[in-house]
Amino acid sequence: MTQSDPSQDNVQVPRFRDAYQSLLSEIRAVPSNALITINLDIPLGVTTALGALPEIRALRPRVVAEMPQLDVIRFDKLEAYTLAMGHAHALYMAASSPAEALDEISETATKLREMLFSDAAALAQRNIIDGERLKQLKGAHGFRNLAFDLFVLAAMLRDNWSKISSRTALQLKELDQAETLADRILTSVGQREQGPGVVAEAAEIRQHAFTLFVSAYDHARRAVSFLRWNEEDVDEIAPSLYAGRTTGRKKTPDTQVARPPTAADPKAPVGGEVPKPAATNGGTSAPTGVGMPQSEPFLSR
Amino acid sequence: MDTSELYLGAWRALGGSLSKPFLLPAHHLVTHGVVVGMTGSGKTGLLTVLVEEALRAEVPVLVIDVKGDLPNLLLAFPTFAPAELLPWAEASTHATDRRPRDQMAAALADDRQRGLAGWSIGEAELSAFSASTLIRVVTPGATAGELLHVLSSLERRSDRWEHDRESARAALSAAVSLVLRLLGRDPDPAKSREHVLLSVLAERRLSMGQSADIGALLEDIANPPITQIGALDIEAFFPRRARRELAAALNTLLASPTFASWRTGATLDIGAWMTPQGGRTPAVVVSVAHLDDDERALVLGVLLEEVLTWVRSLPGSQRLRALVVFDEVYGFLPPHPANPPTKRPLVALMKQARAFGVGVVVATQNPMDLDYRALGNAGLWWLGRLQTDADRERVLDGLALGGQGDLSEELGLTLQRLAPRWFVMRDVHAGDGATLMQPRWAMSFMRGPMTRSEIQRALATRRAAEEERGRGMDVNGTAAVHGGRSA
Repeated sequence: MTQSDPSQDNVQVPRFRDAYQSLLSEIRAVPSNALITINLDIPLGVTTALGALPEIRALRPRVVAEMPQLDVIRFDKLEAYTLAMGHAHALYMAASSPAEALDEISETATKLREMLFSDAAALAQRNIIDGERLKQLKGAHGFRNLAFDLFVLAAMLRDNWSKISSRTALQLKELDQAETLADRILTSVGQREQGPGVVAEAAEIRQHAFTLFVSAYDHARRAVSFLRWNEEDVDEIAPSLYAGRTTGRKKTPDTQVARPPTAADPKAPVGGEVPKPAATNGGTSAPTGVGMPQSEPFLSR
Repeated sequence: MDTSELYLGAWRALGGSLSKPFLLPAHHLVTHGVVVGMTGSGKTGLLTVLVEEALRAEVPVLVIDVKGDLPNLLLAFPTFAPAELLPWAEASTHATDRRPRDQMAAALADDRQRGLAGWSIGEAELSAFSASTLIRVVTPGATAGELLHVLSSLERRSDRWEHDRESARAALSAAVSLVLRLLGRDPDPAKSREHVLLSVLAERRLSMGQSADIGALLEDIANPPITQIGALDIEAFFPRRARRELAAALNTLLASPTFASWRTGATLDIGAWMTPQGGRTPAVVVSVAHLDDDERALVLGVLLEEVLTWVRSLPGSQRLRALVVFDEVYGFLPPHPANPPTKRPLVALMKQARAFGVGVVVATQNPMDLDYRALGNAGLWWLGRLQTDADRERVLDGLALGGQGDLSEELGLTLQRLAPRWFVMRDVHAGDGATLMQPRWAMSFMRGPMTRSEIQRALATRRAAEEERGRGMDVNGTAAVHGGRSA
């Protein structure tokens, strides 16, 4: 199999790179005093955001109708910021990672390609999807070919998702992962061919992109939280980007997430004394509820 | 009640199920506090309770009010009589509530009584609080509350020029910046030649024991008593024609009735403000909600320079002798390199006021734009519900900067799930670990942000009530159960 430049073929321009290029001036323009420190796993965050996008976008009519002060333009640009983030991260990794890292990425990418191809071929054999595009595949030999195949397979399966989602064990996030990996491979190959990457600039742009991405996601998540306040399902629609940083325990309604202090007994915060009860006035019994003693400190689920 | 402890509400352990009354030793506030929480988290309620309890402990309080909430301290009615709440009934109930006003007032009074009873506060406590405290509201540049001569350090000579020239100069600089801002000129001391000229001329006068009011400065601008500024001849630095234009602008300002409101009223004398009046502990609320952003920054810069000067004049103390509360500090203590006029004195207060027994508590709903290095010294943190992951991460990172130890990721999850009016609290005096804390109901009726006319109304009602009390009558015209002392 020969290597070829995917951009010469009739394949949709990788959307990560496209988004990055279109937003680059805005990314560069983020002021330094607004930058957010990178504090989460970016590929995981990008995958999370992409996975949440359909449900977030489904709320757009309500956002427009019920939240007139919300910046709808920023809300609409969430996907673009997310894709640009993915590509900026890929550029940074390419600039800062040793050459062996490309081999690690390609190993994961190869396995993913096999899985996507297997499912796509099975669906094509049953005429559920048109198998013509499978003929475009170039095989997993060579980094560029591998990336190209991942883009084609992801696009093919995504375009037919409504027909195949109930017939495959694949998930949309795996298609997102395929595209992310393919983008990283192409970027790394490109960087390698051009010579040593400029790490500092790539790091800076990545942080700028991260700021836009996290801010936009928080912005959207805030809107979801407002619209779904009574249903309390913001974490299901738009999961926290930082959820991956926890122990991974699945939260249940009764889970106490806060650890008690390390002292054997909870210590009174006033020098160890048992706090004195306040003077009573023998008045009416207190109602329970928000703001009253013994009210619940956590929101119920 | 032991007046050295502040009854703030209740506490429980993280993961605990039973709350206990929470009494904070007053001296813990000497190491300063930070309150962070989104709108609706209960932040203003907590601050109001802090102020009330400091006053009950006979600790005077200076409150800097940016949003208009803290004048609610004027609404700490001494009884549960519905008549007290009648003027506030409509504005405090839902727009769809069609009940007659007196019914709304009765319902609000009943809620207030039941809510406070839940925290063991009754009319005895309300009456005692009202009788022992003096709430003043100062509104610089507006007549809603007391007017303030914000330019005192420019126009009224102080003996600081003899013994603390540095702070006198800083206060003068802040006042000159305010004048230039009112003129629409560059107020930046580092860049504005107008600022340099006015400061040099004013300092010359004040150093010689003379007045440096605007009228006197007009004369000096027209006919300078100096020949050089810095290394330049004055004509090269600031030519006559430009000086004439500046003088004309200043004269117009001087003649303006609006400007008069900045130069009318009480002298900016923090020491006098913090002194008990007639045996009553004072709380002075400087409300700047009516000003625009630039005016706020400059006025508060002037105010905080004066606070810093006053603090440095005090003898050392480990006891809490005064409390400064700042709600909302967003934009006034930003991270480097931003440097509004409020930042220098605030940073200095956070570092130095502790040694003089003055505690500073700042509150914000925007934790992204805070100088966490300046806040790293704060011994008390109250973290309420925060809206976004980025906000929570920022605050937890900021706490780590203060050397207060790593707060776990599970604490971040705790913050995410907090109900309104609950806070995660850390007190360095109480050792490691955090606890949950719930402020009690405030004795002050929490009306929300007050307009200028509402402030005027509340002050007028208070004055009338005090006059009635002075005559031995309550607001209903019957003999008072608890006789008040005249102011």
